[in-house]
Amino acid sequence: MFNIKDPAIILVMYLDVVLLILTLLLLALVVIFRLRLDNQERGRERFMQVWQPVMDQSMYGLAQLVPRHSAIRIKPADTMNFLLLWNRLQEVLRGEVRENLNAIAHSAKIDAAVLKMLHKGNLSKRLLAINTVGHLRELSAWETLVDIVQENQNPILALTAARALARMDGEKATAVFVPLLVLHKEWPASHVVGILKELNLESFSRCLADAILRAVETDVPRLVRYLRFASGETALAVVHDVLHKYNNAEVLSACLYVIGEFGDRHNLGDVRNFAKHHSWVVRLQVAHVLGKIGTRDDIKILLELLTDREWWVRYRAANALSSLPFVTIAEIEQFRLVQSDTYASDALTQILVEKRLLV
Amino acid sequence: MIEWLGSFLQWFFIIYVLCMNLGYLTLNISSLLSILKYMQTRNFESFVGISADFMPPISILVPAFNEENTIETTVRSLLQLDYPQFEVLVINDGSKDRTLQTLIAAFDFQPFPEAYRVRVPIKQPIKGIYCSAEHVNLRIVDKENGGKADSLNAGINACRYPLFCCVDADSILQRESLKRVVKPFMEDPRTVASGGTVRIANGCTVKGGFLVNVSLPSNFLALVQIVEYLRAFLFGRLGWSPFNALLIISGTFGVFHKETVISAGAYRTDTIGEDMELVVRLHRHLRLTGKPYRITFVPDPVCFTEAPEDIKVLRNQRIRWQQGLSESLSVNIALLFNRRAGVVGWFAFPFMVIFEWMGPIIEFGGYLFMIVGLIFDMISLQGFMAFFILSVSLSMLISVTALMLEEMSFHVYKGVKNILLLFLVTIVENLGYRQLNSYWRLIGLYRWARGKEGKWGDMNRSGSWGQNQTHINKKTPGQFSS
Repeated sequence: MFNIKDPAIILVMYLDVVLLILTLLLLALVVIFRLRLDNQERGRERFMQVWQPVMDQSMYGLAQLVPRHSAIRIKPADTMNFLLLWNRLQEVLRGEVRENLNAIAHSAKIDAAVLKMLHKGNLSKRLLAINTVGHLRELSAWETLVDIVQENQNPILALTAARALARMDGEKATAVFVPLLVLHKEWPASHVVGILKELNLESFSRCLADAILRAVETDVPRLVRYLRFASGETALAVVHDVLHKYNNAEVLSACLYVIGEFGDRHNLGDVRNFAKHHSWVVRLQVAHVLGKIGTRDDIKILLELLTDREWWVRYRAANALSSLPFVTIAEIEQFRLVQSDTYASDALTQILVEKRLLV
Repeated sequence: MIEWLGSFLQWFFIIYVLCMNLGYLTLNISSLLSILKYMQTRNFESFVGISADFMPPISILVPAFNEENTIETTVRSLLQLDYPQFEVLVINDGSKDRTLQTLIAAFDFQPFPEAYRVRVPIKQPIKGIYCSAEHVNLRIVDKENGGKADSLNAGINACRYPLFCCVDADSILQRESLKRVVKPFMEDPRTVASGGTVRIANGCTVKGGFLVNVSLPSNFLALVQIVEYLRAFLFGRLGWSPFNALLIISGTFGVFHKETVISAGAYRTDTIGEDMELVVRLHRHLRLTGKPYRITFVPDPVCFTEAPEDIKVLRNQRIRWQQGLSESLSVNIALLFNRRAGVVGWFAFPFMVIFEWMGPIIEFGGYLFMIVGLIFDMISLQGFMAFFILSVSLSMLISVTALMLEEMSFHVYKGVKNILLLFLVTIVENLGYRQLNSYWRLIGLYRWARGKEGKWGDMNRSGSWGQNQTHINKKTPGQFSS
């Protein structure tokens, strides 16, 4: 018989009380969160009512200074709202308009506030502060930003700092960033690209080329992929050297892709050599590049690739044939009719229909 | 003897309930830390754009069976997703209605002689492939009826990109959904699968296939399911993700690395829970072969789906889910306590077996024990009440922590009134609904044990949101809804 004196029941009753109190406390916390959020939302709306028109005017050069009216001064509680709005606009706008926004920020003395935020506060505040000093080209923050990139405590923080450096001085930032790019394999390419686009093209191309030629084989494919954001001339010179240095499929495929981006008929020799490479990934890239820069002499190679054992190579070869500007639909039809290989014929049939649908 | 048995059972149920909830609370802490970390960068990254240059192209697979009411709106909304390069493949799985004709008329589909290659065997043959003359990235694979898994396998064979995303034909996505779910693939090249949070669309307003306003439904069953989904996604899944031990990615919306899925054998056509089974098998395959990988969960609410508001439909759904779970775990039992299985085999899998797979037996047994004990005077009314309150308060605590995670992150449901309503639901669900759910799950378990083949049943979809602007307030889910 289990009654109220049973130790298990007593334990359960105590647990009941503790759990119910805990639940009610948590509920109270949830409600407090919600009320605080609603309050913040109202504050944000009030802020936007005042500041959105000011920002709009500043974009057209009509409000270079913060109006002196007390209602329009930035209160400490509104700093984050200001930074969010300001940074959002900076990210979508280009040219002179950005300078007008900078003038507004200086006038509102936001630069002093963000310099303090660089060192303290939570991650989201620091990210905003770093982005802001980048847009403002606040050179006094240079050393702090270099430290953040080099310490790399958090990849997003480090890459945001690198982007800010690139905005401040694209040439100097290249010397800081590229050697670190070689080291940090974990940096997501999708984030890195945004920085590369802000660097000085010539110095970045030179630095990356040096880094690739000195890199260990495992790092080469990753770095070669960034060559598409370098100058075409440097990129082609580097891939020419790399293609003769390695036989790694990943490296070759990355190099061929770069030739497809920048190359012309002068680079065809580098491409044709790999049409019979043992890796289908390389043969696929050959087909892709020949479709972009190939000549009539390459039709024979593409027809051979049409009978490749890998579906993707056949499909890309058919695509390449159809994209060569001097090959007509009638010619492709003719290639299809004379094909003894069923797979090649299927690939061409599909491409012909795709072409017709696109027309 | 009876006294001894009663005492044993009593302590067994107490320890079981405590262990289960301790497990959930641990997951809760893990989720809390993940959410805090995630939210710190999410806002910033929403406007400091991630470059589209390295976003991998994605094939979106939409298996469809008798979807004539919703398919056009679904496809139109998919075509408007904010993503640089993707294709949409609708796999018409032998629909008996006008699904195919509706699509052909809406998007000017033409027969397409695709050089279709079979990399994954399929049960039912392909009847034809069509390509849209309006959208070159839109195709239909028309096949004989073979079920959802067979359709997805046909889609995998036809898709052209390295990642594929499976989407239910009645899913309502956000424009940013793909970008959010694909982010783990860009941040960590070891990622092989990624899923996002699925939310309940009942009560919400949909326009052009996209959600424009979120609010709570008036139907009690839908309300309860909102709390269930919050619990399931915000810590049931998010909690396991940092340990790379996530065992479920909802079939409603998930992104997978195609070659890895093919190497693991793609979708099994002989199971009813093909989505969970695939994820568990991916773990087994990759853990046991020692390949580095990540299966990740994104807490963002990326997909909304209509929940059943009809008790019969809900019953069938829960029976199917339990059957699917049982199949997924039993066929991958090799993962359990395998020395190479890591956190998945030593924690997540056993947790799933004890508290989810066997849960209904123990939970139902507990209710039975209490009632029998009360009737035969083995347990006092105070004791009965103490146990019952323990069960209710633990369930409430777990639900409220889910509400707190929601408030700390996405706060989708606005207003204090809504929070209090959801809290009320966390109390009321314990008075009948939870017990009923355990009973349905017990039936699912029984059906699995009997080897009875699971059927999705022939249900009609309301298609209420397939209009220009609709307030969703009822649901009869289609055959392929998860």
